Order: sequence, then C-alpha cells, then structure tokens
Amino acid sequence: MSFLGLGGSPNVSSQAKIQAAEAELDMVTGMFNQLVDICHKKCIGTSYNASDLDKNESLCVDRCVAKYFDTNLKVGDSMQKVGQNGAFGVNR
Amino acid sequence: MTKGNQNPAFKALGLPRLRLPSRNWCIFWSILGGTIGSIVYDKYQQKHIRTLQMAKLDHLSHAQVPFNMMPRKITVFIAPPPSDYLEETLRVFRKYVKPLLNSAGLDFEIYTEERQGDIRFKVAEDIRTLRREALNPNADDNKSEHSIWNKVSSKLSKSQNTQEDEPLVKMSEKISVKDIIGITLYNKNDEVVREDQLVRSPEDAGGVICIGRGAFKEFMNGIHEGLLGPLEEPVRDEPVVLDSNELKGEKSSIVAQESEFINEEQSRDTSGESLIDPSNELKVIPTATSDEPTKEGEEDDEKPKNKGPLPFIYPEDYANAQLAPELDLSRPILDKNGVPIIYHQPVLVLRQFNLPGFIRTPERLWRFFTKRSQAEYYCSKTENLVLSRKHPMTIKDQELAVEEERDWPKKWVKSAKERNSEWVRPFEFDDRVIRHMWVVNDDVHDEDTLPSVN
Repeated sequence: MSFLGLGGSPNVSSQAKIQAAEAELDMVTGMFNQLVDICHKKCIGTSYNASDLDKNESLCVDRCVAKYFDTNLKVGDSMQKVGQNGAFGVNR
Repeated sequence: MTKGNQNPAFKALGLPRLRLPSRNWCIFWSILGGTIGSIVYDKYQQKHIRTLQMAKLDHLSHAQVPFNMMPRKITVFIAPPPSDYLEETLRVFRKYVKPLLNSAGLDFEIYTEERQGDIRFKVAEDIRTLRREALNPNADDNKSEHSIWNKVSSKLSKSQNTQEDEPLVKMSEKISVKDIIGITLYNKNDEVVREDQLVRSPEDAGGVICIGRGAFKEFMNGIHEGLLGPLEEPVRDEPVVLDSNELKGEKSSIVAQESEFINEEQSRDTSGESLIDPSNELKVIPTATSDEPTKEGEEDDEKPKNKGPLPFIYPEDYANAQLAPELDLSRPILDKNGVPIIYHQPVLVLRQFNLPGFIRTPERLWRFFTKRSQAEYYCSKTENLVLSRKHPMTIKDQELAVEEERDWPKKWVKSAKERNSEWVRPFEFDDRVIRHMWVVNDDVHDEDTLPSVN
C-alpha cells in the first residue's frame, strides 16, 4: 500500500509500521493545521488589502510559529515524563 | 472677616460658604498634588515621546515583503547595572527600545547575562567557531539540517514507536514532513531569504545594541578576544586571582523567570544558544540588594560553578597577537546564512541611568522625575540605529556611554578592581580590529561630519 511514498519502501513490511506512520502523519497534520489557524488568527489582519505580508505580519508569524513549536516540544517532553512516572495513573 | 464675604444670592440658596482648608491641609494637598502631578506629567511625556517616535518609524513596518523574506535582525546585549538586577535593564529595553524596533518591523534577538563574562564569551565564541570552521571546512556538515521540522517530527515519531522507527526515519530524510503535509506543493522549495543577506555593504546589515557600558565593554572585549585570541583556551597560571571577575554575587542568582521572558522574546532558530541557560539551575532567590559581604561570601562558597568564563587574551597582549589568520578580513565575513556577522554590524551603545546608593538620593529623585529625558535619549538613539545613521569606529569610541561609569557605586568599583573585573580593567581597542567596525551616530547632526562613506 503506497501511502504518500511512505508505504512504497521495501523496508516497511509490517502493518503495524504503516499504522504508526499513519498515526504520525495524522498527528503532524493536525498540529500543522492548528498552528496555521492560531497564527493566522493572531497575526494576519483582516483587511486583506495586499497580496503580500507586511513586515509586522511576517515577523509575527515567524515568532508565533517558533513559540508554538517551542511550547509543543516542551509540553510533549513533560507529558512523556509524566507518562513514564505514571503520575496520572493511566500509564500503559 | 468670616461673615460678610459670602454672595447673598448663594446664601439665599442655602449653599455653604467656600473657603480654603487650614494652612496645614493646604501644604499637605499641594505637596501631594505636586508630586503626583509631576509623576503623571512625566509618564505622559514619556509615552508621548515614544508614541511620536513610533509613529515616525511606523511606515517601515508596513512595507510589503515576500513571504519567505526575513526582516533585518538586531542583536541586543543586555547586562545588569552594577549591584542591581538584570530586570532594571530589561525594563529599559521593554519600555523604550523594543516598541521602536517593533514599529520599525525589525527582528531582534536578546542575549542577557547575570555574571560578568557571558556576553564576551558568547561574542568571542561565535568568532572562534567561524575560525575553526575556516580551518577545516568539512567538519560542519554533520550538524547542518537541524531544522525545527526535523526536530519536531523526530520527536513525534519517537513517541509513536519507540523500538522500530529506523526505516521510518530513513524515509523521512528523503521525504520531509513539509512535503507530506503539502507545504511545498504550490511553493516549490522557497528558501528563506534574509534581508541582511541582500545588503550592498556589510555594515548595512543588522545592528547591535549594547545596553549598559559594561555590556559594551564585554562586547568589544569579545570581538577582540575572538579575533586576536587563541582558538583553544590557554593554560591558566593564576586562576585564583582572576577567578572572581563576576558581578555581585547576589546578582548572579536572579532566577528562572528571566528565562521565560527571554524565550518569549526570542525569535526562531535561537533556542539553543541563549546565554541565560546556565543560570536556570540556581535555586536561591535573593531578597536584598545590599552589598553585605557575608552574603556574597556565602554565595561564592555555595556556587563555585558560578564563575564567568575567563578571557583567552588580555588587552596587554593585543598588540603582539596575530589577527585571525584563518579568516580573510579583506572581505566581509559571512555566517552560514550569508549574513555578515555582528562584527561588521553597526553598534549602538545605550547608557543606563540606574543610580544606586542612599547618599545620592537627591540626584535619584531628580532622575525619577525627569525620566522623559531618558525616554528621549533611548528613543532617539534607537531611531538612529533603525535608520542606519552610522560612522566607522575610531579609538575615540572607547568613550561611548562612559558617563555611566560615574554612576557606578564606589564600593562596587573598589571590590571589582580587587577582583580584576573586566568592567573596570583598562579598556583598549586594537586598530586592526576596529578598522572594520561601525558605530551608530550619537545624534542626527553627526551625519554632516561623516568621513565619506564608501
């Protein structure tokens, strides 16, 4: 099953790997969409009077994306830690 | 005289007689009103000055840029004033400098320090890294491509399948996450272009702001150390004497909340290199700003690791040192993005108006009530930087912001001299080094006296 080139590789043999890849792609796509949503809402003015961004907007988007990734990584890290410690009691 | 003064019409209406309160109340109210009034007026003026300057620069941020263009980037070095907290200087930055940079549409990156030597080390280390790379150019291949996308995606895949992610990772090198999500579907591989890459001569790129005379000294020492010093740390003969060239001990333990602020301010691809990281582990929150020697001593004992990095070269040896043989200084030095390094960028030095000490209370009061002049100072200087009014650096520029040194507390200076702190050490420029450096003008009129720029 060729899934955007991921499944086409002979390396991937098991179903589990494909599923993992799909889950990962879902996650990344979801994150990306959220990111675009948030930063668009925050940074891009609604007057739409020009085709390009102005400097303020492009800087704002830049910072917004950076902050989003930073936070994402940090939250991910600490969640992983919490999961490992079993602090939530739902450690699988 | 109490009775007959009232207007009979008012009296007929039953209105009470208007009169001044007693003498003491009059004094009280007028002093209170005067104080509050002058504070409010001062604040209003500060805001007014800032708003005017922002409006002046505002058109710059509305320029249209292609979506893959990164605006000009300013590097800001912030050092705390002697025997005070970093927060004081950060406040100056937030109040007067940052609004102007924002309204001019400039990107900025902040480096702070909580102990002496961090800024110098950072500046010098950047240059040394370039020199090392120039020595063996193929060594830097392995650490390229640490883009944020790869970081995130590798993190995600790690959390997904911990054991068997090897083939997936291999594929994701061939096909990046960007391709799969479809970012590159319509925009074919648009590289990020930095505005600073496109400048005609290197001194038009970016800019450096040093807030505080100490930050400036460290910045310049760092440049000299990077270019003139050895590549590897020399063997120390007398580590004990020079060890303690830090700021006041209590100052170096300002804790974590700073780092959050900085992270928020920082723009992209800076996450790894901030100067504030080492101090995050400190746990002690100081309560007093006094310079009791006992406290200082304690902290020095507790945290032996809290020493600033030592310089690789001292000003006495500048003259004998060779000027960066690895680098070709006849051409502008570019970093890996093609941007001229901060060595070429114009330097703006802002003094601090922080004045500690009880005896100087009158002057402190005066400064407190005339903060508008400080606002004017910071705003106009920042405007000069934004509009790139600059001239080549000369030996005379050693004196930039030197007035600030008069405000440094005598006690602090004395103890700093004992420790051989670089803030009070002889401050020297080397001709070969400053030949390629530029300074932002002190005021607009400097422009007339410029030597011809070519």
